[in-house]
Amino acid sequence: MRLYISVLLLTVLIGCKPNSTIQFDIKGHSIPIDQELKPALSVQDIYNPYKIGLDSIMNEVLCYSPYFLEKKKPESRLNNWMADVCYKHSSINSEVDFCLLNYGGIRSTLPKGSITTNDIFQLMPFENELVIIEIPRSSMSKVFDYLKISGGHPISNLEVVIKDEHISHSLAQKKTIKIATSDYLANGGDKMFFFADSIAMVKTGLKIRDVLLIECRDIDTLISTIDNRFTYE
Amino acid sequence: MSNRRKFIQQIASLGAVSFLNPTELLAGRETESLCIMHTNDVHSHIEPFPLNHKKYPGMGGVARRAELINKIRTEVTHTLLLDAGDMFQGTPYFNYYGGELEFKLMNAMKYDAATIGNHDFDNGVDGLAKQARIANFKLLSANYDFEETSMKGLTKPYHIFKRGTFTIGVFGLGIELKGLVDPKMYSETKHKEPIEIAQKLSSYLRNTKGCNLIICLSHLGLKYESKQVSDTILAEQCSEIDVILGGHTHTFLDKPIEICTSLGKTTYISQVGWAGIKLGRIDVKLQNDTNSLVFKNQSENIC
Repeated sequence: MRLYISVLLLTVLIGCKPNSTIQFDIKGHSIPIDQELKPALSVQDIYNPYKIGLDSIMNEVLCYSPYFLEKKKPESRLNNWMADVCYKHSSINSEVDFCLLNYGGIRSTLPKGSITTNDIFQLMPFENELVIIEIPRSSMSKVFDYLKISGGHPISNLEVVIKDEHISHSLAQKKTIKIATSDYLANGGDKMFFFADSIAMVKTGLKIRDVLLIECRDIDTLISTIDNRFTYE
Repeated sequence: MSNRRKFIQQIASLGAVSFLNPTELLAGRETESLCIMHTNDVHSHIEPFPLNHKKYPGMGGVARRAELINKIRTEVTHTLLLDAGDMFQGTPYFNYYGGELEFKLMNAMKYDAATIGNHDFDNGVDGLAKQARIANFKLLSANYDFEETSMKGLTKPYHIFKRGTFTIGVFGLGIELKGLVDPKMYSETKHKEPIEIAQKLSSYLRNTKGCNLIICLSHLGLKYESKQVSDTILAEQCSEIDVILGGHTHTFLDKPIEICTSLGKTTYISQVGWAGIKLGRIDVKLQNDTNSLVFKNQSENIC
């Protein structure tokens, strides 16, 4: 018996890799960073000069919103507002059939009440430019296939209804389609690889964030509705 | 360390041959602990969220995080402070100052290492390189090839940290950039498939470099419905990794997920949401003992 156990033990030892001689007891948890913690003044001193410069720009009130706005699939007031604003500003000087943004690109919510420059920066922190991509009609099937399984992306001047595997839409019959979007998506971001079929691209020279800032300065009250432009049946 | 391990192995073998009573060996056992603190996807959140914020009122803030880190450092001798990427992008601090402040603050908090997330390319690879030069912490990436970019020489695949009895191999893994980051931003950066690199590197760190703890800083994301490479897949296919500190999916895990790997070993995955709302804390106790250990490993095979 003793010999048997010894042999067994020896086998186990030889069979183990070096790391097997190390025993870990690993325990973990996450700790909230909340108001219970006092701020380290030495660290505040590092960022305060940066903060003073930013605050003067960021605290400007641009307009008023009667409702709290957040992104939702397949559509929400916020999804629709962003796409509508981009459609409106891109179609001022160019012909545009519809606007397509991406759900993941909506980076924050907008508060009920005063909307500041800071809120728009939170919503659209990226430096992306608004561009207009022209694709052949034949490539639209890829766009619709993408939208079908997406669960919803911000769109404007377009209605889609998805039922089972089928998608119906409001797009007019044309040889080529002009889509307003961001340069990020135009370059295949969020796997929108169909934009690689582009036959022409117009750069608006406008950053999406700047378009949102211009819009907010122009309006007094932000109005947006849920109009069933993106529905699953 | 390696001498110590050899010694322990020899003692253990001796114990097996002569069948010493295991309790006699327990007398010499040594227990030390290491505290790993980690963040991910801080996204340039320097100040706390405003008090009227719908989801996270008053949460976060780098000055409070620094206070918590300092407090833990006074309590525990051996610590590591790590970040799993997407340090940049999300507040005007990044838009106006380009990431300089984020890195200065990480220097002030004495971060040991960080890996690179997709949003860290948002001012282009040149924008990242500009800030990488001021970082006092290691930028680790084992699967981004920066040879043809301005980031050349500013990252390492891995770094080995010595903390008491611990020899900790830390390496970084980044997500596929194509389809996620504008090509003009990542420029000539080449992404390589992470799994095989992780398998080879973790085995090298363990067996050649003598690391007794392997940590992967990953910006791959926790899990996907598709077959996209994730921390979960990485844990299942790369059993040498002890702890994966993840990011990208902004997942709040209250405590690490335990994955049972093919070798019957447990790999821990942690991720703490985003925006510096939480600090992850993982305490590792390393027990160098002998017979009891062998039995423990046996029982772990059932996990």
